[in-house]
Amino acid sequence: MPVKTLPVCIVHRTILHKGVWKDYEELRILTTFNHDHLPMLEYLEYRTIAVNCLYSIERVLAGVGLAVVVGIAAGLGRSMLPPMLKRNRLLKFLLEAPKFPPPIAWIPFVIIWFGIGETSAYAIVFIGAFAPIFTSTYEGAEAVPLALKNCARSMEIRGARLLWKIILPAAMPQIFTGIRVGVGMGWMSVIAAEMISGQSGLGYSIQLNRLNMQYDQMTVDMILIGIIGFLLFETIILLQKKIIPWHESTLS
Amino acid sequence: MIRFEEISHHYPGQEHELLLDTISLTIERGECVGLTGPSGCGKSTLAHIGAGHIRPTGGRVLIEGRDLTAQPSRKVFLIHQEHDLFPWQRVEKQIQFAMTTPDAGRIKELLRLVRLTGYETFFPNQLSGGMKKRLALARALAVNPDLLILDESFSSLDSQLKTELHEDLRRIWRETGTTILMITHDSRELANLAHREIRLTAERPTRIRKGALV
Repeated sequence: MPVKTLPVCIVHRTILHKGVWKDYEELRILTTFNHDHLPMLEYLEYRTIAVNCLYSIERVLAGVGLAVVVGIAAGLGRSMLPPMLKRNRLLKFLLEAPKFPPPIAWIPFVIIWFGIGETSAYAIVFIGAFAPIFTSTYEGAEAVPLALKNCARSMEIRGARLLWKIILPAAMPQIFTGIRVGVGMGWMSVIAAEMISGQSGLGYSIQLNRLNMQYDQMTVDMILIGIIGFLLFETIILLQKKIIPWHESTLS
Repeated sequence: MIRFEEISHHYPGQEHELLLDTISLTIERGECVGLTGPSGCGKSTLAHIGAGHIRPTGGRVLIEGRDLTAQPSRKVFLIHQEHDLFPWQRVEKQIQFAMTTPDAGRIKELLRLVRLTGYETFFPNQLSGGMKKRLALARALAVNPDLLILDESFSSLDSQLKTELHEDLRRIWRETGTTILMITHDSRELANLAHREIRLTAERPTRIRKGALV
């Protein structure tokens, strides 16, 4: 079997399995003529798969973008704390503990705070992406070799200049690791958020297709989530090569 | 003149065990002094104290009569055993970054001095071990310190590369007249480069001999 046709065959087998295709056809006929399903018909008419993809991508980019800015700033800020505060167990608990509830568990709170809408979707993505970026930035900044910091101090580079010119660039490889994980988390979070409270997007599409037993559409949505997630990941790797061309991974 | 005055040091919680015990030594301007001694006798600690990276538990570091104890400054520059080049900066940028005011002519001159002309756009990870050492030297010279400390800077290199770098250092010293404190285990390095040797022992530093670097 040619490799190119393999994914198509898998999709067809999934759809045709145990007469699902037949059910789908029956349901499609039913729903087409049932005026109670008008919102769904509107969806079929106006919301194409491409539009749903773009909604989800836009949300993940906005949420992750915000998480990158806030996460890096917060991570660097934490690394600049005096050693006494860094060792403080209460502060450590307050900074670390909120990372553990999964982003999906925040959805009810986010809906209470921001209502159902775009802001909530951005907030969920932000919560998912922030933790890995914040942690990797802090750990990257802490792991900057003392030799580099001492060398900079001997050049009389201190304070904000030390942070901007030495700590940040030295921590960039680890920050990018955090961003890659953050994009993955953000992407999974946005799909989950759309499934629960969305009005559009691939997560919403899956939920809608599940309710209408449109398994072929659900399969397409799942495949698209995989492809877009992979492309987002690869985009970050390309960005990494552009922004830190000096890193071993790029040079090799 | 650079003077280490009655330097004592111990690590936190080890007050009873002094790593450095009232060490005093003076380095004259333009001198190249070799500092030797058994492993763990505190040579590198003394180098870091000299560069202002560590505050000694006693004593002070005087540079031209000015007390610069625990104050890292452009007056003393330390080249570490391990690479301390900024990996994100290209060769030319490394040197420019070390200068107070960028000077294209001086950058060119320093690159010529360390035989790195033509490698301006390379990142440190694209250079060989010897080239990295030479770049570290050029960058240190761009800082233009009163005292350059080399902390076993050539220890990880093979003997041929070491000989080359000794030649480079000798030539650079002749052209710049930089004051150098060189920490080493290598007797050949001492013979090739140092005016005199100071040996750190369990007791006090001992002046051994005079010679070299001419």
